[in-house]
Amino acid sequence: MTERPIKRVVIAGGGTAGWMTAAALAKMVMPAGVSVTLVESEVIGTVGVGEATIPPITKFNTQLGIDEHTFVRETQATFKLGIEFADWGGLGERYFHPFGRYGFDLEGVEFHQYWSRLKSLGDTHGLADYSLNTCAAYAGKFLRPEPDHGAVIGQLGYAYHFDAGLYAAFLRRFAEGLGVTRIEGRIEEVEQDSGSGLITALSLDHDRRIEGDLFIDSTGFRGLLIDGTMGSAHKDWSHWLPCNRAVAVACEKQGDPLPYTRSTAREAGWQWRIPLQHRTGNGYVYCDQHLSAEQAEETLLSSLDGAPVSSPNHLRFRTGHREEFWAGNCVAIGLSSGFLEPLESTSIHLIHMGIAKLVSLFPRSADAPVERAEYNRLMTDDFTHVRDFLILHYKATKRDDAPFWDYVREMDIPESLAGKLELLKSQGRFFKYDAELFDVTSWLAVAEGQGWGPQGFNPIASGLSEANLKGSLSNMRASYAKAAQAMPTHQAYIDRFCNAAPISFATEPA
Amino acid sequence: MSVERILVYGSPVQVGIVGAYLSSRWLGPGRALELATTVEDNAAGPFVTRPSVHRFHGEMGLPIDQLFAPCRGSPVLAAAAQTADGGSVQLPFSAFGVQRGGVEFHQYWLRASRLSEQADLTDFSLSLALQNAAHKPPLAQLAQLPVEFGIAFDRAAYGNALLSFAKAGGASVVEGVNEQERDADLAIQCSPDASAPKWQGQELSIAPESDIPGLEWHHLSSAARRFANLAAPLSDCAPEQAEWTRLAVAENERVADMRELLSIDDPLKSSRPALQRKVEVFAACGRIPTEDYEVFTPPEWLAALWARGVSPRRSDRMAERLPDAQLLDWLDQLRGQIASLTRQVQAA
Repeated sequence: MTERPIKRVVIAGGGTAGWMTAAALAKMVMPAGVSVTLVESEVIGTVGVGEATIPPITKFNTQLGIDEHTFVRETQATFKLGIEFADWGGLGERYFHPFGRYGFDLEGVEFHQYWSRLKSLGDTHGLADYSLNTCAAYAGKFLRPEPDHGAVIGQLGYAYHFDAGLYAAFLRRFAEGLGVTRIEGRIEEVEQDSGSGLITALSLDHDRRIEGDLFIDSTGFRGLLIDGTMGSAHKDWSHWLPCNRAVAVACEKQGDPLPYTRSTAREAGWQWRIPLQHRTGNGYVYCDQHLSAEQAEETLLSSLDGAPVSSPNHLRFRTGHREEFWAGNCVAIGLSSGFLEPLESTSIHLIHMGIAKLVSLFPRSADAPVERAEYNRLMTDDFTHVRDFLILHYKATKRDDAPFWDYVREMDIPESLAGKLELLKSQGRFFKYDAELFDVTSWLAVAEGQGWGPQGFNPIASGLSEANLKGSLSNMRASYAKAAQAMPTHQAYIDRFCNAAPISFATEPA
Repeated sequence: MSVERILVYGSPVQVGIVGAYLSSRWLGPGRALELATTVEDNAAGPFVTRPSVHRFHGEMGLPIDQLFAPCRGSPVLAAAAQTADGGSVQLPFSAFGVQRGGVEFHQYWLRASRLSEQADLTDFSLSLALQNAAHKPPLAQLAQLPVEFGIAFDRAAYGNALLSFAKAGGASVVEGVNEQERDADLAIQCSPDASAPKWQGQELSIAPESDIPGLEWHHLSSAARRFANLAAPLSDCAPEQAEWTRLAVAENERVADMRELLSIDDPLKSSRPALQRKVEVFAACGRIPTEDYEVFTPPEWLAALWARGVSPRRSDRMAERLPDAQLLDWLDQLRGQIASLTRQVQAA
């Protein structure tokens, strides 16, 4: 068989996934003599996956050489220190999942073991008191940590809330500046080599034809290439994550933007609230077996902070992923590759991971079975690790006020999660898989926040005298409170460094 | 108040490693640690530790500096392992060359080799250059260099030093192991008698292997660290037992992959899935996929794959971003820098 060297990459679909991929390939692959063409149609809307992100997004932007303040300004972004979860463990309860870590390790023993020991002695301070991210978030503060800020502020981890549409437009300018070719057009047919089955070209409207060697499917849920042409099956996880619909709407912002996402558990799912500079994003993710679209929309609209500035947008999805993320010479990136509800803001991160692995395994020829198999293995791992963490939120609930919660509370969970929870509950042990995204801080925050926290502590934490233990942890609490107090408000930071121009909703494209 | 009693038995150096760590990280009120040296250390040659020895000793509060001279220490920058053809390969603890633009050095080297004849890949390893130099640099100087290193100790001296440390930390040394002593709440068997690591009931078997230098130390130190991190009341620790065993077995699988790579006649014909993947992906594009709980570092895998004749069919496309002339100049400079640095260290 004649080897088809990769000289031309064609990306089908714009939106966040398409333009993130185009920007990254422009920066990292084009200098190696590969052309990048993106085909999109303004007639076809984009879903705009999530507007909330997690800290690795800062690395993605840095790798592209994007100035952070320019990016924040141009995408109406705000800074995000974590996620507040309300009514998840039980009605009326709330907790915070911070991006930074909890406390400082002492004598080589993890901080939370000391915290568990102190708790066993009757102390009532929660994990939140040892998290700068939580203290700062609830005080409405933000400061970008710099190397000379010291160890306490150095613990601050952050990500962004941004307008996904503006982010895609921002990256489009960036990618086109580096030489990516954008073609406006609707894909009418996908051409394949009759022998190998590899994709050879996209036929567009007006009799145009775009040839390529490697194709990226960023066409969203429909997966025009990966599903429609390559026939990659969908692996379904809806028995563990039964939400399958969402309704989203933006509303006017009220007051200064909070530096965190809020997730509120509802009757048959949960509602997000994402503050941007110019508006607030809202949505209700739910299971249609337990709630109608009308009920979901009514619940959402009745709980907005301000007047809606867009029509409710109803979405339908299936939780799971493609059996093959990369099939033939087609790589699915974004919603076409799979979907996990945005409870922990992982949608854009999974796009980032797809891109990073593609760059790392970038093939020399169109048919690259070894690279393809490795990519599929790694992406499956990524999806699986995130899946387990999401299931934890549903499983670890005491709620019994609605059939939806009865189902998730009682459902069987994957073995990989069951083993992890057993260890975490018994003595706060946590062992992270090498490729696992969420670390002990995340698992502790959710488990403890929903009443499944450690029942005991590592006996090594008994090595510190009670007086020393109390003194050390008291000092830590004071340090975090003081640091949070000294930080500027989130709004003040934005005003000083990255205030966006106001957008008039009357002229904003739908 | 009842006392939890742990008995550790095996050879002096094995018991010393586990006992010293547990004496500083586990022993405390309501706990007793007994150490029994039940077999002799018959192994020849120095006892090699891997780079994580620094952290291990730091956690115990017994810095390497204190042991280096009394235990006749010598830095180790690469472990020498036997291969199927009767030869040997040096597995360096640190990377070959330097990464550039997020692309590993060997990808550039592969590309350069296709442009013109290049020195062997191993000539671009500072670790190997220093390991093979006539004189090893002192610890303080090594710490300033971009290399990872373990220490080779005199086996008997290292074992004795650790046993003394354990005793000073409150452990007691007992003679032999009789049936009554085996009634400890937990008996930790350090010798390689068991076929696989396992913590079940009142027995924990470490089953250390020693066919690759540094491996025995790794198994013993990891077992002790993992036990201390998981330590729960010994009367109620089923999840901890299962987790300790799962992690130890997973690590052993990765070691078994390396052992097979070194010993199998044709690495392309391995039946071990993870090794098969490593070989195939490396042969296809020069990338080394890693699994959870790897013991060996990517440079060690690279050296082993290379030594066993597995070579990539192509280099990473990202390595093509550097123009040809610039690439060749850079490789020349790098090789010159390694040679110059090695000479400076020798002269110091």
